[in-house]
Amino acid sequence: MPRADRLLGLIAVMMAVAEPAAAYVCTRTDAAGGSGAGASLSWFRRDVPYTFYVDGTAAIPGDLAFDALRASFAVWPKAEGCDDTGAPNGLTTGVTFHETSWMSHVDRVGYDYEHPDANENLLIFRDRGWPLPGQGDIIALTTTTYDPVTGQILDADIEFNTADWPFAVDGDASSMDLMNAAVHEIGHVLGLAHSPVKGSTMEAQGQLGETKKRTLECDDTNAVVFKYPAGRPNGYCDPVAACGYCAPPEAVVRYPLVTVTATSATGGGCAALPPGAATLVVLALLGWRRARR
Amino acid sequence: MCRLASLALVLATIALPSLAPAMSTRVAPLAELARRADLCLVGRAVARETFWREGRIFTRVTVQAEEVWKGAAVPGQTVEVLTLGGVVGGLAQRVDGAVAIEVDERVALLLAREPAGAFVPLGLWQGVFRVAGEGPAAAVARPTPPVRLVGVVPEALPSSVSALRSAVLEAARAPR
Repeated sequence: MPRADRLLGLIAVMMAVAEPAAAYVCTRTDAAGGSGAGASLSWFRRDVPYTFYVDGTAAIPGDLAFDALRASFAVWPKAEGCDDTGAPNGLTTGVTFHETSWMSHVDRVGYDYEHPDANENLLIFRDRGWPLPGQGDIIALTTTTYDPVTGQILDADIEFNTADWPFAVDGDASSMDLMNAAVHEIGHVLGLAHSPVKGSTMEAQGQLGETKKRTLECDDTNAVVFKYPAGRPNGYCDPVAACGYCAPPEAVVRYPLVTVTATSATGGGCAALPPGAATLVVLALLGWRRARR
Repeated sequence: MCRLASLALVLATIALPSLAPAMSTRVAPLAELARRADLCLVGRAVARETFWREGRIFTRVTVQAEEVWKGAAVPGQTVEVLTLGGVVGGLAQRVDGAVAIEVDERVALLLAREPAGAFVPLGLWQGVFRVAGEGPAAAVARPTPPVRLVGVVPEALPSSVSALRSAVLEAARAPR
């Protein structure tokens, strides 16, 4: 075996046994919550529109609920990456959101595959009853529709279960803080899964009256900066970089092995190449070298 | 092999604690879930299909009951269980916390009946326990959400089919 192949093989083994870093997690095409090695879910555009359902919620007077949601969308584009000490590292994100000029009169979430252009990234308060029987434990729900091969996010809707849960915008200790919940759900809209980092906004835990998730922590800012880096064009991604976090069509052609949707579950922080993905990438490089001979 | 799988499940249960309050879904105690459930059973998934319904993708899993702990079903009967998300053709949909059940997989389920007659796992992942092995000593474990929470004291969940059955039966007997 040539020395270069032996070296690549050694790297593959080392990466395969490496402990995945405890950091933010990307949602992937092939396993729930980012535990696979497939492409991770990403918008292939940098300016993501969102639309409010017209009714708002009776739980929060006036436009305060919409204002809280607007403020929530403004949080993620301001993210600045940080280093291990928590100090800003100068990296920023290019992702932005904009509110459509209309409000929706259609309360249906999900995706209309017959009219793809008619889909909206909808935010809706479910005052009149939670539409999923037996699932009243759900406080807020993000439903993401995507291409199962490339991971391209096509639509993402957020529902707030205002029928079963009290929501507020003033930090009331006995209610769910709307902005606290919304900033977390918007992380899911961006293709982030729950993070193992305690205290992060994408952490799975939360409680009534909590407001600390109105802002982002280092783990969250590093996630969005990594996934949607500033200064790159729409659709930018580097599928050979950590965990194949995105794979636009041209990348699928150039790096076909990287988008293999493996069924085996592996660890998966995006900040470090997870073992399975690392092995795939190195094996892909090995295969590529052999094919060139 | 079964013994190894059981051991792996038990270790996974210990190493990956279940959730305390989750951000977007309340985590209910097992006893409460059992009280609320319309149907509790252990069985094997024998078929699966995905379909669109009003913009959402659902996966319908047909489960053949082996034991019924609560509710109107009998061993051998099949029940339809709906989970959120799945892949239909060239489109996929996902919801954080929803669980996929594979064909041939053995599962213990705590289910609520929806108006159309099918059942849904209570609390998304909370109503699903994967079973490794056969018989009452077979190991059970919740499909762990992809997070390892630090500093959370998890509810001590049953680790075998027999222990889960006892917990469900005890909760079901308790007054509502």
